[in-house]
Amino acid sequence: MRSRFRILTCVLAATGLAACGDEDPVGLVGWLPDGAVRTIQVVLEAPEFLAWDSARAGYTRPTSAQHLVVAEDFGGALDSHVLLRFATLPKTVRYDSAGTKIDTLPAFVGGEVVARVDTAATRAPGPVTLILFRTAEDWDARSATWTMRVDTGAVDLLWTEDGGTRAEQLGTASYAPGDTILRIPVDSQAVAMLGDTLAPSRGALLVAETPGARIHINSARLRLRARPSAKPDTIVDDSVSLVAGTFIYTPNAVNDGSILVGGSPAWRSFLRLKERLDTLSVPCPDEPEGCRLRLSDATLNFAGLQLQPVGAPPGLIPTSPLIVDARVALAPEGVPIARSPVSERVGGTTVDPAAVDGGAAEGRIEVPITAVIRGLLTPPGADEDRQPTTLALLGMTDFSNSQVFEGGQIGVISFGSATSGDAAPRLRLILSVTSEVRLR
Amino acid sequence: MRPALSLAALAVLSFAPAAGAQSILASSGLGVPLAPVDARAHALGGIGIGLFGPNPSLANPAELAGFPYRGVAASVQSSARSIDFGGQSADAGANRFPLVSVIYPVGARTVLGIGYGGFLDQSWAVATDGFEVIGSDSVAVRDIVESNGGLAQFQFGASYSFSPALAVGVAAGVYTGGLTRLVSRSFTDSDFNEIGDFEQRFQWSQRAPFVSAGFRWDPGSIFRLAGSVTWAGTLDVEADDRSAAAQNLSVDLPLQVAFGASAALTPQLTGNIAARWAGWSRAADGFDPAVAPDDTWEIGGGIEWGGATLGSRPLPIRLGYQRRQYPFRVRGELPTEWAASLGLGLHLARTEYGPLASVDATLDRGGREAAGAGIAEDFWRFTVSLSLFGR
Repeated sequence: MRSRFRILTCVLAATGLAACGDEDPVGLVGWLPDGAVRTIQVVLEAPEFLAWDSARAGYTRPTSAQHLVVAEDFGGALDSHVLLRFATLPKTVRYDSAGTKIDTLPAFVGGEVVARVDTAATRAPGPVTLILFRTAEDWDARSATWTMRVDTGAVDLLWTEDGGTRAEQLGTASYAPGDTILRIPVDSQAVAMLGDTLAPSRGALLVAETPGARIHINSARLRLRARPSAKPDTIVDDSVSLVAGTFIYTPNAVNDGSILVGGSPAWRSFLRLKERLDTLSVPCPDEPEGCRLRLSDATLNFAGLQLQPVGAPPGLIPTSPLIVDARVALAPEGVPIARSPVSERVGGTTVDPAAVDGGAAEGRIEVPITAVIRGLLTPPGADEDRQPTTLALLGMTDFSNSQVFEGGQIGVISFGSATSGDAAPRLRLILSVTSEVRLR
Repeated sequence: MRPALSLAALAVLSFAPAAGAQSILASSGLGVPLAPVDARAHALGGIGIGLFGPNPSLANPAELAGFPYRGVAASVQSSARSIDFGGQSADAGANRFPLVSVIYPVGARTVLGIGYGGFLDQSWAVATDGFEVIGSDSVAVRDIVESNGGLAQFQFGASYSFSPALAVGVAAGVYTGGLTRLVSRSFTDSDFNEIGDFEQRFQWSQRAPFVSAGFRWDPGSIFRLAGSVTWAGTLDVEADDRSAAAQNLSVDLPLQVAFGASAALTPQLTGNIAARWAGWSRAADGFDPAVAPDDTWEIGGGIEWGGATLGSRPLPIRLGYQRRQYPFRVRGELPTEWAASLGLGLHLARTEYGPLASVDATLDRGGREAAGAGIAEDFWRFTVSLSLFGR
């Protein structure tokens, strides 16, 4: 008897397990009542969701950028010079094809500064004349600006000449639009100056002479031509790389009240969202006039911050795609918003430079911030204070598929701010609701 | 035996809530009725009252009197159906547990029983594809409404035999169960993959008391009559507090009257016919007119031939037919169901009072329709029951 019950138990359990598969929904158009789920789009104007916005500068240094910019009166405003410092000249050279013969007393008879140009980001009205000077004063690559050769806070030293104090001209070249390589020949004396480690002002200043040009340089090297003392009838090539490089420019973008992102040093903009978005209400979809739908009663499918480009500061128009990243400014109490740590990316979109080229605005860009807004549409608990939510917008540049940097380019985009009227930010919400569920 | 019985009961009870949808018609009102009967009763018309021999079905507490031994019986049912609606066709399947019953005789005249069986099935799921205009875009969407749950009956019963020919019984219990309805929308257009899905879950709990009384009378050795009356109170359907859009509901459940008769047509052939009336119209005020329930009739019958054997073991063969009305209207139409049944049984370890163990299986072929609503289903349904008793 006992064994029979065991068998029954096992059979029931096994049958039960076998019987418990989930059933897929039956696909029938028209069986569900219309409006079982409704999805609507709501666009909130700035006064409804935005408390304030503010743009702040100085988050990166030009050395963070992955390129150097030399410009002359670009956009009718921008002048930018490149500061270069090369490594020490080599003490020896190899002078046979196998590389086994080494000369310890080579004579450097000349060379050239070779720069790789980002042609996609470069703007040149035609052939551009470039001149390489020796810098007459020492400079600090990490802090140098158009007016300051050292600006570390502890040490502040002005250039004698704004834009970098020039000494001897070392070389000149002409850059033709579309060239990927820029070559500036230099003689033996220039090579010696560039390699003189005893000179505190060692370095070079590259300037453009042709108005309307903005050339983006991805990398630069000093190629050398050397004559070995052991075989003076032979010329061998060698090269040294940059040990410091930066660019200094004027004018900087000015905080005119716009939402600014991008640039190098980088701009960030902060947007304080209103706290109780859950209390807002919108007209009910397909319901009689007077019916209002509270946002907290709907499910948020998507939220996009719509920004209206209003151009770029003079000369600082982006020439490469700029990624507008949205993050949450954690804004601990007592910490100025400008110094607030920011979260990981919560949303972002890539702005094509064409969208703001020439300052012409061609429609809004939209930054998805669904996760942030979802939190603001959830009513806080009875004993819970909602933390104000501040968004930080950062300008990022993608140099490869895996490397994205803030301050990666000189370009800055201006967007309309909360006080810009029709150009003010908007918040586009896509919401879904289900009708009252009744069993009758 | 007790641990095995407990485990068997637990196995079935644990899985009962996971049962799948039986019919798309369950989307109307409180769902579609389930008969808390075993496979044998299912093959003999599906009402489960007035049968010769042991009958663990919950339709009549007096029929507990047919069990001389303590034991357990349980059923599992699977169905496959094809649905036709407005020119569209779809296939679906479902599993459920219509019955588990524990029987425990105390003394020569009294038998106690605990039963758990189906009453209303509320499980169904429908998906529909369409478009939604969002701003200036027309976006492809897929909506799914999925309902899982049902109303089960849990009852304690007792029968008392005045004589081998006459027994009465009473039972009391609750209709109880949970219901979850999940409404979801996904945006299937890849151009809008940043739009997140929508999902909202509604939950209810349901409870109502009931009592029933019945008799079983054999006026002669070849004839049996039985009847039962079940009174039920108000079903309170209460929404979970978190389900803001879900509505509560109170419904007066119907009075149910069931009666049946069996006769031995030959020494090896018996016949059964039974019917049940349920006064669902008393609940009509609680529903919209297009859904409002009406009184229902269920009628069924069958024959059982006991002459076949498998080796030395009896192998009863059954044929039956049933027809029932569904209580809740679908788009204003009252659906009906019919089924023809073929059943087999295998009796193990027979005693003079009946088998100590049996396996019964029934295969149904049937259909449902609400003609005016344009919905029809054809189904195959397979029911297996296991019964085991100990002296």
